[in-house]
Amino acid sequence: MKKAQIQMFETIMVIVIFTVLIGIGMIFLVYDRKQSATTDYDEASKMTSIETALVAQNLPEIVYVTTSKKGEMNIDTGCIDIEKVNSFRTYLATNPDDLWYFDRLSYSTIILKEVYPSMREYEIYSREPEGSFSTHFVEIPVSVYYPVEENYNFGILQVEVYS
Amino acid sequence: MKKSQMEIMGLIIMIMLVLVGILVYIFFKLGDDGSDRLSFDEYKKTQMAQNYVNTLMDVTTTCNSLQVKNLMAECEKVSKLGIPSGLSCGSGRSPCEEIEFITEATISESLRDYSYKFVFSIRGDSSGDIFNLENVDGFSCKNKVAPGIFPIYSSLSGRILELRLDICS
Repeated sequence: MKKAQIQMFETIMVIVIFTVLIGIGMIFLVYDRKQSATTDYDEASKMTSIETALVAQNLPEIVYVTTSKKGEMNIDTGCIDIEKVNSFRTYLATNPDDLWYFDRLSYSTIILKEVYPSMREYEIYSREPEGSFSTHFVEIPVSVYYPVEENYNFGILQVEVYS
Repeated sequence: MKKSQMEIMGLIIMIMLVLVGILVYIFFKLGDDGSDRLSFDEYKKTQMAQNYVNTLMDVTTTCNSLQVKNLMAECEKVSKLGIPSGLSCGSGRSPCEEIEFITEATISESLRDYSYKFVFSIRGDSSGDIFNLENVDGFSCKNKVAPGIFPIYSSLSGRILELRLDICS
């Protein structure tokens, strides 16, 4: 083999080795980006479910509101008024296409589960997406206020968010 | 400089560039591990602990329709001060038994239902626990999320009673 051929072969080998190294690096980076994207998507879904749970917990349509003697309204965010829940459910049943609530609660199911003194369940809102989806659950203990009896029962607001 | 020396210099520079690239990547990767953020699971447990105690305190009992927070002092009166209670509760329970009954009923449908490990206690400032509920396996509850705490002033004894729920993370 001539000296020029050896040098040519050496150059080709160097290019091949660097190409392989860059290729391995690219594969590694693409795999890592893919993993990061999956994690970011999962994090975003979880954040959305927390946001939806907080919106549901503070929804003026169901939350218990007291009025002071001066006429100031105080919102008790940890307390759900059962009469307002029933009215809200009736409204949603007669207006299933109301997009105002879809903008706020998106694809989710919100259930008020009363666990003490009796076991009852009230489905407040439900809208499932079509096709396959993943779900995240958030459970928040809330007081369930019965205005007629003036009783506070123990309940859990179960929020299931689809993404 | 000879040709062979130049080639070795080139090789060293390339190796150094590759090493610097790897180090920069590791630096950025480790710098954003998100360990200072509350995870979704921890957030849920923190919310559960804090909302559970607040909700429990508001529950209306069968003892003259008093709320749990008002029944706590009555429980302390009977269990710690030995003064008989004039309250009549449903099913002939004492004020302490009523609180325990409600706590058991609500915990079994929430914390136990979600398989959370927890330590729940109601205690006076110096007189020890009024009662305790635990659902932990031995010493496995080393890390806990922010606890749910509800302090109550007892006008009968002048002490601060504390209801506390710790959930293991």
